[in-house]
Amino acid sequence: MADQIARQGALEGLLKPETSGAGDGTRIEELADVTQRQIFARNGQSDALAKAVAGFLKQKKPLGPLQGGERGGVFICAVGPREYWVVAQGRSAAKAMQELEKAVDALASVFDQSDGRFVIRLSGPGADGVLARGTSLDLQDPALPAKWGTHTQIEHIPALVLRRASNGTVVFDVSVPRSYAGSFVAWLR
Amino acid sequence: MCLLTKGCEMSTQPNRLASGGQIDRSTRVRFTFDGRAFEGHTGDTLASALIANGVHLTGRSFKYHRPRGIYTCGSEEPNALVTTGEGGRTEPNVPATMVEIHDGLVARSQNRWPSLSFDLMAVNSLLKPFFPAGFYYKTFMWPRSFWYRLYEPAIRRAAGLGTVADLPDPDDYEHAHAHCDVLVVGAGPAGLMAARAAAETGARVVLADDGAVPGGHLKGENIEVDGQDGGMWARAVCDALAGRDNVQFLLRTSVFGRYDGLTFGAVERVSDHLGDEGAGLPRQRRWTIQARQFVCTTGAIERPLVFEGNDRPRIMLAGAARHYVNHYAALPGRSVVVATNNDDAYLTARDFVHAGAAVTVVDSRDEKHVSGNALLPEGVGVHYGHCVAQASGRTHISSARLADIAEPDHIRAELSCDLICTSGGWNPTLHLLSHCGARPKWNAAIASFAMGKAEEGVHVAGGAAGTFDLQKCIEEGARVGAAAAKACGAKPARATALPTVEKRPVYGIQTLWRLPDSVSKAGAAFVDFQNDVTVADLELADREGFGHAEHAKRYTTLGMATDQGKLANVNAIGILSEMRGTPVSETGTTTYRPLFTPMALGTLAGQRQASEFRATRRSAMHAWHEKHGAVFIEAGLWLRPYYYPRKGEDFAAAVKREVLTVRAGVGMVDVSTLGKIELKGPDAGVFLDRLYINSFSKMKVGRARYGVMLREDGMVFDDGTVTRLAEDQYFITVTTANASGVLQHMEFCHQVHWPELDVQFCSVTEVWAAMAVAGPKARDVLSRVVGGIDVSSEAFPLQSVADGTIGDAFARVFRISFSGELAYEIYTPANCGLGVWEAIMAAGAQDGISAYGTEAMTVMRTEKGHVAGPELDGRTTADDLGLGRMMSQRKDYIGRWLAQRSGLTGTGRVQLVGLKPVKGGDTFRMGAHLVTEPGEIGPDVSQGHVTTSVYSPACDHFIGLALLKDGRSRAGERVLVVSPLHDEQVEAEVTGPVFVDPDGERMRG
Amino acid sequence: MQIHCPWCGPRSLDEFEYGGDASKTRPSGKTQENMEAWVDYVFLHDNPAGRHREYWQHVGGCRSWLIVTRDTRTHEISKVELACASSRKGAK
Repeated sequence: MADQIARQGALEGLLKPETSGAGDGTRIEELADVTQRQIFARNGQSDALAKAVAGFLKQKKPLGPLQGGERGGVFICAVGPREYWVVAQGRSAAKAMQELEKAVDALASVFDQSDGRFVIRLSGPGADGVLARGTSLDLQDPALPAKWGTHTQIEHIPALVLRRASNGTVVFDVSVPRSYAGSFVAWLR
Repeated sequence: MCLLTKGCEMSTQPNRLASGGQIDRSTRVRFTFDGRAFEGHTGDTLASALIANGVHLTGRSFKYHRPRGIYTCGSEEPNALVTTGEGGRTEPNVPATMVEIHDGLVARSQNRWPSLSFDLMAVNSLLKPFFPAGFYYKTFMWPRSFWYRLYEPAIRRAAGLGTVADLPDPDDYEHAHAHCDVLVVGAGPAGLMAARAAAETGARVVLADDGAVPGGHLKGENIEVDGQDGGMWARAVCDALAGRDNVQFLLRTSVFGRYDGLTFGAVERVSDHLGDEGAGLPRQRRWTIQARQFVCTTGAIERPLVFEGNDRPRIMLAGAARHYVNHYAALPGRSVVVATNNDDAYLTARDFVHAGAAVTVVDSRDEKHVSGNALLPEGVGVHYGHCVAQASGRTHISSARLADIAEPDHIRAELSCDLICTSGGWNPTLHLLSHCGARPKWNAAIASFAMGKAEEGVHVAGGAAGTFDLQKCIEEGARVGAAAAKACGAKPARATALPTVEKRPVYGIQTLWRLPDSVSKAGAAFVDFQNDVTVADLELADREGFGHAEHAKRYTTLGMATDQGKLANVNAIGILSEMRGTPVSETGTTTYRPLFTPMALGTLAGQRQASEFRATRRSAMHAWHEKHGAVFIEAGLWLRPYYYPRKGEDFAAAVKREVLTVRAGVGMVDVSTLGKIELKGPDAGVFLDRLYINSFSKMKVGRARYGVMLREDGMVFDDGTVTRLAEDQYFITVTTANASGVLQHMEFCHQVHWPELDVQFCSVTEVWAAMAVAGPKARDVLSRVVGGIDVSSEAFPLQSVADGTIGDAFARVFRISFSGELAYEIYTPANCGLGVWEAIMAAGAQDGISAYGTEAMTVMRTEKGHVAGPELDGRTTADDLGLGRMMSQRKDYIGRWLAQRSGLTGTGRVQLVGLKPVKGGDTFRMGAHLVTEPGEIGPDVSQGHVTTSVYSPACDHFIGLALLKDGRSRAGERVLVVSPLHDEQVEAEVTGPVFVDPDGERMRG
Repeated sequence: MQIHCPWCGPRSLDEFEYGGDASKTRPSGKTQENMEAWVDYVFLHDNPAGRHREYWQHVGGCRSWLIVTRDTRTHEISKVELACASSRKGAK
């Protein structure tokens, strides 16, 4: 008999969606049901993998360093010289995820990181300012592409920061290893 | 004509001028100083409000407890250091010149008892001959016992200025980061022009100023810029700048240090000035600013003249004095002597006359060298070729005695006065230019130090460059701002026209370092006010051989106080040069280091204080452990359950119970913190072969094996388990402590040594929650919860792995044992961890299952002679630990060759052994040394040490693991376990390292 | 201070960890006769006052190992390259 094992997210009870009190309207919320993959090119397949990813995104140019792209609810970014990180949310992205994994199958090793991390979304005009309190990344660097993803640190907590959108409303997703949940929420306060 | 506020003769603000200044007269701000209530206005500093209220005595000096008053109007203030706030918010040594008053501000003077005006410690002044510089090198030495009993406690009580609060600081502090193309430090005229010029090109600009209001030097001047008051012009430029979205303006922000690569640190005073209205805001914010170009427009700081009594209250820097008149409408004196060696001080004379004071100027130069006198109104007297030799008065000066520069042997005249404005010249503020090692050079034209050739990426303009003419400052600032932007690749822009400035006389100066002792006592002529260092002290330093600037600084402590010698350093260098007969240009300066001004430790720490000093990592089952009374221990950043005491149990009792429960029945421990790395790719096995001493490329799928890794130098690095999940897929565990180190090592080997290996790997530590179920009943418990795996002994032998389910959760089950018992490790996705743990606890309830912690785990692995961290201390080889047989002879691996160095393979090596006490009740101390003769002490005679020591419930006595010279051949011998620091000596018998179930039958069951 | 990671761009120094001297080549000798070469590789390193080729890992970022040429007197970094780039026996 397969009893239901209760699932416990990393932030259980620690974070409620909120709008920051600083008056700048930054919205902070946890994203639920997120799939995350870490993808490394197999030897000799870097270029082929880049082409496959571009093909999946239906764009001609392969992603440049740190550049991100999105299709069907799947966000993928080039976080390292031969490495991509994928973030997708919800059942609606399942189809596109399958397509991506099929496209890279022979070209890369794929590791499932979904259960190891939680994702917080920061959006609104003050989002940059909130992040700037923790990371030494130059969020306004004009050399950064419109959509990007990179590993960095937020006050010495490892974090993968993704900029999902920069026109209109700025949206950042921050993916953090789950064991740091308590410390991350303490910083966010 | 007296311009003082009418109708307030007796009470509030007797020295407030009726008009002028930038204070907001519509507000009334109430504050207290030493318990007395005063009033000021928004825009006042504590210093300006005290001056306006006629208060000049603000503190007592550090060593001699001399009465002191307000000397400057900036962060360089050496004397008026006060304590603000109460309770946990008490902050000592705050310059009154930097405190913005707000309603309810409480401030107190320091370093006096019982009161500021009557300070008993002033007796130190009388004992001055016994306390010259360096007195502590030569005194308080005899009798030796008196040092701890009497001298040190007395000195501690007398030392220091303010007193630190001993309550926790309730305020919040923040860190923040800023990035820019051009950082401009100092929003005075040069800085504003530089920031504007850079901003107009579109470059990203950060402009920082430590004032509450921009304008820098202009704020204190009575000068017209572009037809309006200089201060108003500055504010208008600033408002325009702040409106641009490529400019970040940091006001009330002091840039305290410049670090390599144009990284800067700064502190912003966010809510200190808001009092209660600041609730909810951080008190201060520490900025890390990364710039591509740096424009230094930090201006210049005036230095005083040195003469007997130059430290008394109602003596202040000339520039500061007129700043109080012009910016704060506060009049520091009505009968003023302006003592100077340069032309700048004449502006002070002029501004005081306009405010209604009677002024006399004393200029050490010959009249033919003076240009500033053109500014003087009719009828102002000037004594050319004279200087102030003595200032007399006790709690404040009452007269100045003059000497003739040409024949300075006796006093020529005495002027009664209530204020002396002193100016010995202006020193460009060079700190940020020098923090990265550049040395300033003597500039004879301004008789001060300035930087030579600027470093790459660094630009200087205005007072900081030694430019004191306002028109030139403005031009320079605009020029360097544009140059800095251009260096970042910005396109040139059409620049706004520069303003015009009213013409001023050219700045001239003639150095005057000191006067002969006969007319101006060297022992009362102060060079460093804060540390009470006099000319006599510098003479003493030179006589004793410490006349070089760097030596004199340490010998006399000149320049070492909270003001870091901002008023003292250049005077000291000039005086020492004169004493030693060397030109100032050859004497050089001491080294400038961050911080420019003191910073609260809370600001430095930001949010990383108390429980958040480091990040904390918690496993998926943490809440369960907490709920069940676990006492936690830190393992790196992780919190791990150490033991789970039940009612009435202490540490020993709880651990004993946990161990007995596992060995007799079943227990479960959370092992989620172990590092876990997954590897994929056709060369994964080969890669592991090269990392471990034993082989894995030929291991069968579904098997798990213990592995040991060496460092390149042949020493054991780490141990763990390697499991083959599929042809091209492996899963390894490493120790908690070494998890990140091993991953780095693997990445280095792959990227640097063997990039041709087709293997990909990453950390999956966080993905899996892991728990070990151990004990004779472990299989029974698991069979009740695990689905999809035949857990019988034949189907699931030791060192194998299988995938199944627990409930509807995926479970990967390994059969491996650290405890020596029949044991299984269950890995499940982290978000199922808690649920799976609870399911197993429920399934094991009937067998009395108990959670156990890391201490019980340590006891059991020690009983089994299993090595762990204390044995893998980086100095032991595989052979030392009895693992030599695991070292493959058939493949190359990291550390293989250096492990065969003669020194690591011969006799005399320490080897892993067990120890048991000869007397049953004795215990061993971890780290205790092993010797054979009683009384032997010392590293030469030590034959090894105890690495682990625990009470073994199975043996009912203490057991230890130890590293003993040639230990494997000494079983049965007696050794002494000694700890001389604790005066302990215990007799022990050497045994093999395994104490329980030496044939390993239990785990094979 | 920053290091310009070839992939991630300029990043704060605290995202990196120092990894030692990069001026040596790892011996490939598989015999004991090569002990001298191993001792030299592991233990003997020059400590120049001036330019130094050294390993840094971008641990807080893309986790690439880098070879950085840094002047030990001024901390000026003149070159940064991926450790696995150029030389190597083709990992692309």
